[in-house]
Amino acid sequence: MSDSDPTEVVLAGLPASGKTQYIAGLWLAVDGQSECRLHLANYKGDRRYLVEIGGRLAKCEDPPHTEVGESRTFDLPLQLDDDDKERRLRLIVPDLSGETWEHALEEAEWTVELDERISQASGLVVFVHSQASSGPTLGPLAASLPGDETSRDIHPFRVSGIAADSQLVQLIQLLRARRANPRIALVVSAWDLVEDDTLSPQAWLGENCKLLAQFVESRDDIHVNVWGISAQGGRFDDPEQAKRLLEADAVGRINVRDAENEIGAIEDPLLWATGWEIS
Amino acid sequence: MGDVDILPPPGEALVCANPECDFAQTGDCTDGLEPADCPQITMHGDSAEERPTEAPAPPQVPPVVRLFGATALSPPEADDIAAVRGATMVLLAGEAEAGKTTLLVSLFELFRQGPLDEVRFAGSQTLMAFEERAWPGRAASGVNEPDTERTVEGLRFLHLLLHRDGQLRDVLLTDIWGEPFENIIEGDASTEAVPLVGRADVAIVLVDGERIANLALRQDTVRRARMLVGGLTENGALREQARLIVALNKTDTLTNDDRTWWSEHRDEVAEPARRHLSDVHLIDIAARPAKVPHTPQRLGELLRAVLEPTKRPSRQLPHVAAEQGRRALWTQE
Repeated sequence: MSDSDPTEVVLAGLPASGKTQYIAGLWLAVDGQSECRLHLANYKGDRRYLVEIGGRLAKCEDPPHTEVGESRTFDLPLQLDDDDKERRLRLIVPDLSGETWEHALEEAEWTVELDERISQASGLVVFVHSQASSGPTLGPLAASLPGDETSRDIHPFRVSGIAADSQLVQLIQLLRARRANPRIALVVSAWDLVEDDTLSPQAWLGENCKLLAQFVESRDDIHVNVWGISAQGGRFDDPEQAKRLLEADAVGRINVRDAENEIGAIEDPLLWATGWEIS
Repeated sequence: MGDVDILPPPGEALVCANPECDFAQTGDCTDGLEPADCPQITMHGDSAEERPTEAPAPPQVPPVVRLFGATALSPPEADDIAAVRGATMVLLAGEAEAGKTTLLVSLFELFRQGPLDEVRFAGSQTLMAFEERAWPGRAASGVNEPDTERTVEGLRFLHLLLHRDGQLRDVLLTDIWGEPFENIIEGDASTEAVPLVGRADVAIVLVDGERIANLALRQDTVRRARMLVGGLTENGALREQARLIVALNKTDTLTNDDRTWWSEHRDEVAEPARRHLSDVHLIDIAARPAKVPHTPQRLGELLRAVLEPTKRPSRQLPHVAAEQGRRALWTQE
């Protein structure tokens, strides 16, 4: 990679982990007149999908449903503002639906192309939904199922049915195996749905992803930082909230919290993942 | 005809489908075209009529890279892990239904609840394999009575990477079905039934507490467990530096009278091991009590016993030393 090549950051996450809304929010931020430190490096390429998801987010509409099997791949060329080094960043989204990552966990394989992407990336951004199942899953959940009769009809094992905690650890282990000493920005999406607003993303991780928290703490060959982000800023299915959100600026209503619960910006996970020193 | 690409290989020739054209004889096209540009000129035998009907080409499958985690480890894969920084190899022994797989899953689940004292989860090369074994107990599996996947034939390992006192430690846990252990009870040499026995740092012999709670079965159960311990330890099958743990499982099913009976007889089970090993433990556990919320009992104590350094001469530490490179875990030296 030459000096003029952009720094690459790969975005990963299982289905319904909040990737689309994050990208939509980022698109609005880099394309608009916000204080975002990143802006579009150029206007080349097909931007129809970005325009669509950005438009829907601005209108407080849910993102378009990602069809099963629709592995949408795209990248976004970005540039750091007010930077005499003219540093460029390329955000690569290998699969917006997330099925590629789910397949990797279930079948222990991914394509050579994706493997090369990961091994060359400077950083990675991994998503988990704040309301994803965090376990525990032995016992209490099983025992709470209705009915007295014992069912022996076991559904086949599927990764989507296990706790997000295990999913995340495995995904990060796989990424780590292909990219030495990775910088992994973990985004907890739909942060507005976390009921305790005094809870920091770091504390959320400790409470909801105990396996991941231990894993990160134990390993000095993996660098993980965590953010809580609500690209929507609130619930679209609540008429009162939706009205309040529509009255606000589409970028201004994006809520970002860093690991310690301090207010941040939507580009922070990306910039941290690059490893750039930014004054 | 300047394009080398379209020259026919030896034994083949270009022909023209136009009967008016004498290209085959003269090499000149009637229409004055280069052979590559003329739609009538083909390789001999390559006309549509003569071409055999071919099945449509299968869709192109992109090349893939194999990853890890979805399945338990084969012995060579376990060796690869052990070769990096050494590993503690734990032989989990017991008859069918003693709860071996449940114990494996519950040890993993222990870390899902947080660190165990100073021991933290630091990774696993078999994370999804743990999850798959736990699947029948998950709500998402559609089963409303917790269970675990039954072990199938063959030797497999599950892996935990643990962090303790600033050090990472690989633990390889065998996942072997009950039959080889039943064969040892019935007289087979343990080195033949379970060849890796000589490589184990720790052997856990699991005794089914439900059978101890059954008056008709308890004496036979103790006798069979004793034979298994004897088979695993006599003639140096388990190295004398190894640790043996007799773990009574499903203790939640025992009455006070049952517990008293077990406390009076459990040394009978351990006794054959004491003749050969100095490091023998007896622990009563409930890997997954039947009663909701199924909280495991005394598994922390069991894990601590597994992780305590064994009394091996320093030359043999770690069990599979990194400097020795790959050394087969599953065969005798």
